[in-house]
Amino acid sequence: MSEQSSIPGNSRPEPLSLVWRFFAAPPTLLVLAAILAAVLIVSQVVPQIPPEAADDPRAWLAGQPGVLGGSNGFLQALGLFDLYHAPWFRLLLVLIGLTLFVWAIEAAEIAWRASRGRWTPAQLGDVTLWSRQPLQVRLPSPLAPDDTRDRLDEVLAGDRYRRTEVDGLPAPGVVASRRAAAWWAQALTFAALLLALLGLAALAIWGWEGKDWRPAVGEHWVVGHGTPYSIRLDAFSPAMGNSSGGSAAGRSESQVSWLEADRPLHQATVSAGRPATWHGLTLRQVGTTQAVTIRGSNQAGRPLLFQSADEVASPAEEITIAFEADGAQHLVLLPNEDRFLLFSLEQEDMEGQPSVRVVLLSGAGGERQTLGVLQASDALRVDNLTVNVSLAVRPVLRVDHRPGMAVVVGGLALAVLALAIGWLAPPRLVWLAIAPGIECPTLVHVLSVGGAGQVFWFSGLVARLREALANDR
Amino acid sequence: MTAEGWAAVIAAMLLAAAFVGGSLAKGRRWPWLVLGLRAGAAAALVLAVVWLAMAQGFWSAADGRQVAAGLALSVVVVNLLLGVWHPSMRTGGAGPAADALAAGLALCIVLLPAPDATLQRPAILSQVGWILTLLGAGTLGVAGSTALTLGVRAALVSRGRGALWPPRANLHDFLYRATALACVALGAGLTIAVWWAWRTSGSPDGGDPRQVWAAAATVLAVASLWAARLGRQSGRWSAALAGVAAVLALTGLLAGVDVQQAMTF
Repeated sequence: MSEQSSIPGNSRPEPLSLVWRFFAAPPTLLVLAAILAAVLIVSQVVPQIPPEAADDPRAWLAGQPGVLGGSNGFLQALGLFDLYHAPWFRLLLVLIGLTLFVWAIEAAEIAWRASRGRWTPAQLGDVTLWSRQPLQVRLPSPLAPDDTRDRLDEVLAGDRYRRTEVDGLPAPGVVASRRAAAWWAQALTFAALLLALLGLAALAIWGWEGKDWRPAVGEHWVVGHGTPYSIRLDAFSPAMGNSSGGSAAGRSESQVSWLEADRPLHQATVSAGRPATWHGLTLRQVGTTQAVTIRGSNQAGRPLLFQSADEVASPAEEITIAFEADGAQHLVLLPNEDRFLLFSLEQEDMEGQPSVRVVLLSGAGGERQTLGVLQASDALRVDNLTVNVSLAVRPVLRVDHRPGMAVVVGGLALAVLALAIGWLAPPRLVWLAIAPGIECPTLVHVLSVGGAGQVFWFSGLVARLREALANDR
Repeated sequence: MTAEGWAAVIAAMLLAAAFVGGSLAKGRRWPWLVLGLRAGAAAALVLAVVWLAMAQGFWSAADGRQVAAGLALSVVVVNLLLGVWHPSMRTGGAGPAADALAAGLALCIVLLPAPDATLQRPAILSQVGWILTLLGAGTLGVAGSTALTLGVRAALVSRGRGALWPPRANLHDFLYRATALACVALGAGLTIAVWWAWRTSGSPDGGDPRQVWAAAATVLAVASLWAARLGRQSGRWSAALAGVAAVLALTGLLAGVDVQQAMTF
């Protein structure tokens, strides 16, 4: 505004410390928010170690090409390949948490005073410190102080401001607030964001996620992680047609039993987006995959032996492979035939149907010959051999324990709600000190929380006050 | 050219005309003519969005053209509504910069390739989350355009040529309102995305890099709101943060996946 001056009562009283002032300062929050945004962007530029490679991150890093690959020691030293687990990132979150806590307290204090109308000059100083540089203007009035107060009161009442008399300031005055309850929305925003952050902390400390499980019906899975439970897949109904729509008709479902020492405890049905929870553990169906069962015979009708190249297992007359994802490949050795079969899962076609490509690798040069691209079970001819390939859909199940997720989502939802209230009904707070002037009968000192976002309405209010004082009735 | 391509080109032409009209801004009838051009562009973009969804069979954020159409529509509609609703901006809104941005986004509908793989129909909740995210990013585009307008205005005023531009306080108020609305929409979209990711995969991370870009933009947009309280130079900081947030949101939503792939190889 046009006229600036120092504000009385601007010194922060004890016992607030320098640390409190540091966290309450707007630049602190801005710098921390900017660093957080930068970290989020860097996490999209520098490849991050995926959860499935967490057991052996060095091997994963060694496989990353380019300038931003694993050979970049500088990036490794900074922990940029695992940003969200780097100690400095956790320190950043702690600092943001402390800042949100201080801002929530400060905002709650303003909301409490704005709604109760209990102000002292020192408390006004606290608020103006919080907004760093308050908006202020001095209005000369040709009227006596009492008449000036009445005129100002009329304008404020017309704008539906709630007025409270305050002794002190530079002179006795009025604190006027409008939509005072909306100040609580500001406090709620900070508190809700802090809640979400605490939820994330709980998630990081106590949460865990089991490996993906691709069971056949009847298979068991030991949950582990200190729990006595295991899970059995009782039945699985694959999706009809395009499965990802989430419609009830097209949704694949798994029926499972929670077991303790092979004793059934609880039965549940899970599907995409419909997890089942048991004693804090959540079982999810995170997808479906293809499984291939391979059998075969030679010209004489004797069974062939197969051996998976990916697992340490002895040759068997029948083996089953469950694919991890689109593009996944599995190599199968025919030990007595000096041949390999390469099975790869290909992307879904227009009808949402995945297919399995079977390639024969033979000879010293590893010559490739595609035997077939299968969408259903089939028998393949390899010279004088017959290989029967049976396809089946299996669920991909995952057990996890996420103690803070409800708090994270609830905190975010509350913060959004509070932001929406603040946007729809922005609160207003203004102080008016009325004192005898030197060059005019009365001087009105108008003061409000500062910032560019406040200038527009403050200017409008000041214009109305100025007009009311100039209006000679 | 397809029907949606024609609709996008018509929208871009109307917005280009609004840009020229808004830049000239002389006479009393010009602002209302500009308003009409923007409304016409919004109608053409609605058609483009509907035709794109019909061609695909459903609306999906996995189709870059549908994302570009949604962003362009958000920018035009939010600029129109916030401008009309604002007590002093009336027909001005974020000014010609928002028209230019929306025209560029409309052209992206034509320039971006159709998805090369079969898209899967997303769940309704996921679609709602994406629509809110696009609305928020478009609103942030309006805020970023306002920040750019403030910058151009400041440069012109320093040369004594900014008399016809809206007052700085009005532009800052418009910027504040647009940024606050963007925070609400982006925050709601991200909250739904987090909730849906939690339901489906158990992790707060949905695995789509564009949502991380949107999250970074949201953090900066919220910081822009807080910066508006800083006092001295709060306007500059608030506008700069809103501008960066807009760039992040639009870049991330249109090219976030490509950036990650480019860095991987």
